Amino acid sequence: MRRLMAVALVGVPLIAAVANLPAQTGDLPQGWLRMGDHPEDYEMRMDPGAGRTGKASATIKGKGPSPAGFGTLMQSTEAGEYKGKRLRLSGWVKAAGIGEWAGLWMRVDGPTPPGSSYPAMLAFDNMQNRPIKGTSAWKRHEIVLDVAPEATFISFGILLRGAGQAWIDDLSLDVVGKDVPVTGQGLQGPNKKPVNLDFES
Amino acid sequence: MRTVSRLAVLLVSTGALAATAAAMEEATTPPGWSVAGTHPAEYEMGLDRATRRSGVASASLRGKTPTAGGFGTLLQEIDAAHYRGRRVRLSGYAKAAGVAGWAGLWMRVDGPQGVLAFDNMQSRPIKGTADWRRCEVVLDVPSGARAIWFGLLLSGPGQVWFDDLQVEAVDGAVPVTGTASQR
Repeated sequence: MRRLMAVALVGVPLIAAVANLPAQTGDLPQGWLRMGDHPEDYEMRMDPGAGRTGKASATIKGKGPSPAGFGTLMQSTEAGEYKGKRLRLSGWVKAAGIGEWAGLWMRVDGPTPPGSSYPAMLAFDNMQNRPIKGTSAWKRHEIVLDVAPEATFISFGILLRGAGQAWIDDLSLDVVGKDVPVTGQGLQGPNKKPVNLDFES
Repeated sequence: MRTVSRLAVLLVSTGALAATAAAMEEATTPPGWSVAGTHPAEYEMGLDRATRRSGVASASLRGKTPTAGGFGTLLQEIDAAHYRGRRVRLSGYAKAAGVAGWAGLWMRVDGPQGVLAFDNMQSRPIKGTADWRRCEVVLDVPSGARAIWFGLLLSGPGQVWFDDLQVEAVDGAVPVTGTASQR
């Protein structure tokens, strides 16, 4: 249940997440936002001496032995040039003592459907099925999603649930070919009618 | 009971989001179906060609470990348009092996403001070990319905197979099995 909430909340659009912005000081990497369902339980900042390349990386650290929920360092960008393309978020993550899990995540939003308060989520992956845990040196991770032509915004970041610390550096957003498999499921619209009820295909 | 059902509604309600994060399972996801649940990574869900009631395959859900938690589900979402104002029955056949928690068919009718009707067989769960047996969920689809979600769920260790599902409109003589919400 709790883990599901994390998924659900990362799925919640930026606007909702902004309401949770903590009054936290410290050097936030330029262009990045502190979010999550319990951002106050996580320290999120630049780490000037801990870069994989260059000098600095960004880090997220659970406060105390059992921080609640999850925190995420994220940003949102217009879908503009990525519409209709397959997009890969890649980045390098280092981990120390992560008891639950951490992951890169990316979400593609579409227009807000009539009667809804939130934009439609068109595609999503948060590495929950291949989580970063424990302690490890710098390792490259990636998320690959299709950006639908009707996409409006793309959000991405790193999330940490529970105790421990993760560092992130050298992120890249690249348009890739269709030969690169997607890592997350696109959210299909509903079927018109039920299909494949006999599991014969 | 009421609380439990509500929780289940919540869980299945948010399932779609978990689906997006769901594992690329070893088993092949049946075309048209999506993998979801609170702990989809702890369940192997997909086609099973070795065990089936008819044809060449069934859908199988299996808790991967003795401590598989939450639930995993195979689901699909359909447009409610075709069923508005009608009573709809989801039926199918289920076979169980060592289901320590429970399994069931489930169906949920969503309106613009949320869940309109729901049943997941939690009150008459599939448990233990049992040969192919028919089970069903019957709900009214109000005129304001937008979407119908339905699927197969397993909570806990063990394995369950489903085959020969059917979604059909039935007449008012068939009793509903689930609860309608007061929205």
